[in-house]
Amino acid sequence: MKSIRRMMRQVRAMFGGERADAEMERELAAHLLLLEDEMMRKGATPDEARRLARIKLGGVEQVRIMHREERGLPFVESLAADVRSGWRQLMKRKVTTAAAVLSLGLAMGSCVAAFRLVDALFLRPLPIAHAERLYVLSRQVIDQTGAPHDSGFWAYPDFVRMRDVSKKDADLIAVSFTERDDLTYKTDEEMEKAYVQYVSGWMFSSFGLQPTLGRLLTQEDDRTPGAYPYSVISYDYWSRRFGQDPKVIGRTFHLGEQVFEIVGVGPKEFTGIEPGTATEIFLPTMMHRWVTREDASWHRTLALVAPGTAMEPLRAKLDAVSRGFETERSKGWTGMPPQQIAMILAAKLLMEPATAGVSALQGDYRHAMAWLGVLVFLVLLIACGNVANLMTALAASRAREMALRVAIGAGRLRLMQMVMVESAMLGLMAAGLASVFAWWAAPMVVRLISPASNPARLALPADVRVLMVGLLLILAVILLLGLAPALRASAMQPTMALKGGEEPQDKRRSMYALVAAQTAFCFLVLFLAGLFAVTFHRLLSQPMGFEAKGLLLLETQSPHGQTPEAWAQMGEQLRAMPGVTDVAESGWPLLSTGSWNGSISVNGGPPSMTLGYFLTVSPGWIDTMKMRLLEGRAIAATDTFPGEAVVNERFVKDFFQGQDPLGKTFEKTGGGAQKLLCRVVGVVADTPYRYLREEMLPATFVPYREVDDKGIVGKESDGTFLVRTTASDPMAMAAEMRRKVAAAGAGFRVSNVETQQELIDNQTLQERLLAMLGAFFAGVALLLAAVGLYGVLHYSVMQREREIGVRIALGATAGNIAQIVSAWVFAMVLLGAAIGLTLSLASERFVASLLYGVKGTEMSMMTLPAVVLLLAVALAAAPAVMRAIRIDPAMMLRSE
Amino acid sequence: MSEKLLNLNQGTLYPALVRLEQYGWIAGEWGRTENNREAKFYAMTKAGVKALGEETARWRQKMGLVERPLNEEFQV
Repeated sequence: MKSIRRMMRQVRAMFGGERADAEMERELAAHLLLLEDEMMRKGATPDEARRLARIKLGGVEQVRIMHREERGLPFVESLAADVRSGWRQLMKRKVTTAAAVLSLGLAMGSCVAAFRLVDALFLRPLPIAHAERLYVLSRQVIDQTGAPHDSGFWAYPDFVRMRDVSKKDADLIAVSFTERDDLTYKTDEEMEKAYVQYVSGWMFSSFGLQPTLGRLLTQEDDRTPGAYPYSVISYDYWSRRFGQDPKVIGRTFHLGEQVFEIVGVGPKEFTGIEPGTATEIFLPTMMHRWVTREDASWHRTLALVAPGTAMEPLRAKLDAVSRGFETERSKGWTGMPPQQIAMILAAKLLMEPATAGVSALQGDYRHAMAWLGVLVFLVLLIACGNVANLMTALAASRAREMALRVAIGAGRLRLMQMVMVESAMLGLMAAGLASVFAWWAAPMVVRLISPASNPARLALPADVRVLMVGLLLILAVILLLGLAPALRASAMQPTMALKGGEEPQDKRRSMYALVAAQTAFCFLVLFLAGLFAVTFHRLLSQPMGFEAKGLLLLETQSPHGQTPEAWAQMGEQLRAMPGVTDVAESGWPLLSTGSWNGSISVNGGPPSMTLGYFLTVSPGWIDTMKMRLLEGRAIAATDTFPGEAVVNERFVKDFFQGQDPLGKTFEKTGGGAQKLLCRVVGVVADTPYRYLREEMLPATFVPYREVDDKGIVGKESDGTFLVRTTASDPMAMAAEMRRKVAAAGAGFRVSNVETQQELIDNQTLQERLLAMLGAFFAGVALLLAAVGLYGVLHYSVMQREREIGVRIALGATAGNIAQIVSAWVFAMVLLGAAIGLTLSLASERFVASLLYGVKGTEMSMMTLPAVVLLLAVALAAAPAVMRAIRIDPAMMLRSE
Repeated sequence: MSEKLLNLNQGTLYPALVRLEQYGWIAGEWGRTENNREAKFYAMTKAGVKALGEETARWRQKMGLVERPLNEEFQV
């Protein structure tokens, strides 16, 4: 109680200093007068009395100081004084301060932003009970080249068997890959998109989740195929789509051919198990069209392992069951080469922790994010080295001030506190900038890595985790920055500095060492950034084999199926629209990652190990795509599949050994007993089929007029219209096209519109991200290194002004001076560059998988960073060297 | 002031006065001495009187603890 009251008064006293001082003076004066009176009463003369009174009271100045110290909080007051003087120091050198704050802020901000991304994608546990016991099952196949391929897709009947044998040890949960599906709450004309996921009914209770509204799916909703048209929507979807309307329970929507009823709203935090995708609608697995199929692998298998279960026996048990399932199934595989069957059956089941969930985004960006982290960390190191050097230089320029402080009695701790306060202020200002930067940058990176038509949704809360990382970072930076200069300042020898003697050489040495380190890191950053930039460039500039510009893609559905003629008629109606030059149709667009493959058998030979890739196309498709027909003819309106086919160059090379294939035939074999015979009528130039980054695949373009073994032409329910437009932005015509298709009344509806260019861009997202951020960090690193170098040189010239003056007076030429001033630094830069080069070559191996069409060992990839670095160094060194050369010996020596 | 036993400068009193005032145990007031000199008069507040009681009691208790063994030792 009393100490609280005292503290409050002490705090108050810190602000009323002057009034309290006046009061104290008055009291002391009165006290002295009283004492004098007393002395005079005892018979002293007035002069004597004054003297005796002062003796009696003790030193007036001491009393004053003691009074002040007792009154306030001396530590806080000295801190406040340090903050004030620190602020004055920083403001006195606005440019240096700004440079330091900016570089530190950018570096720290990048670090925190990178952490936010990594945390959201890989570290943050799912908001479910026992996330630490969640595992995901996958199968690993080793292909003929020895490369491993992981697959996380499972067939439901296989899942059921595995679930039955592992009931005691683990709770197996089937979860489909979240898909962006078309659905409607009203009529077919008002279709909308939502992220839909089929999940085991018991998932919610296994995860310990509670509904916000209504009920969640249960085990009872997941027993018989097709019997449970119920759905649970996410809290987020409920808020956005329905404005949190409680009447949403009982509403129905159409999805495909089915009608679902909304029975509940999920808990607020739960957005599915895929970081990067927020599931909006959960449906029971029993409602999935492939739930009974043994040959369709469509869902992930998660396992919530019981506490204390040994993992390896569980894994082995599941492995055996799954292998048994595949072995039984393989008896029906007649069209496949035996080696391929053996390869599939040799697959090994893997169980990996899935505490943070599982998503495609994780797999795609694991490597890229790691390298981003490395770049960010390197930049932070450079920034720290930089600021440490600047601080050292500043401290050196204040050597006399410090010496004076020591001389009039400042203690070591007091001086350290003063310098540390200054570093802390710098660190805190940088932290302010960093938090703004991180707040803005993390969502921006998420936008960069996700296609516009299908944005990634990554929760990026600025919560305690992020805050802790930020605080630790600040603390580390402040210690790193402040400690060395503080120790140096406190070890000041006043006589040395006041005499104006030379600084000991080793101080400059540590600065030089920092320059070398900075250069090395900078070189590495430049090297990596260069690789990423060239990768992006080569990927985009590779020949496509078709023209993407102006190509609009209408993914179209016809729920009850339509004949090829009806599709063609719809295409003609689109062609009649203004601005449209050509229209064709194919099963799906190239580079949409869709794929349809099978083994190829030529002349009744054995089915091939390598697969051929297929795509159904309409007559005129090759023209619309502006692909180059090398030989023969394109698909004609009367061609059928099986029947005729146009193949690409790679196909000719792989399956016809490069001989003229025209008129020759091949069979597509595969899962079933059916063999589909095709005659080659034309050859087109190679185009990327599925992914931009993989090598050209042997592709066959077959007519979309498919006939069954009785010769009856089938109906197509899915397809994509390719509309070649003259518009600079084809997307501007999207709405009109949609209306046109709906108005045709032929049962077609457009479910998605995109441009071919978007598909290409979507496949270069990672490369674009790395190239852009790489360039950004390279710029920052270069700037920082240049600023740091400038600071060091400037400092060393200032330190040696007198020496240089003397040298000039004794006849040194400008060349001599430039050499004296910069030789050391250039040696350090060269040393740094050499270390950087070594680091670069060592790191090249690890980034190789992120590169395309470029190798780190290419001469240009190594010389470019070196040249850029040397240019920057020369530019940064010039001002200081000029200053040294311009020193006027007369002025210099006179001023001494 | 017990000048015989403890010879301190009067100035050393000030820090103690500041502290006591900050505890709220004493309050100073300007006034006039009988010689009509200006002087600050410190008086105990209510809280001060109470605290004095408590502190005295505590002091006695402490002293008692020390004194008892001392007495016993020398009375043997």
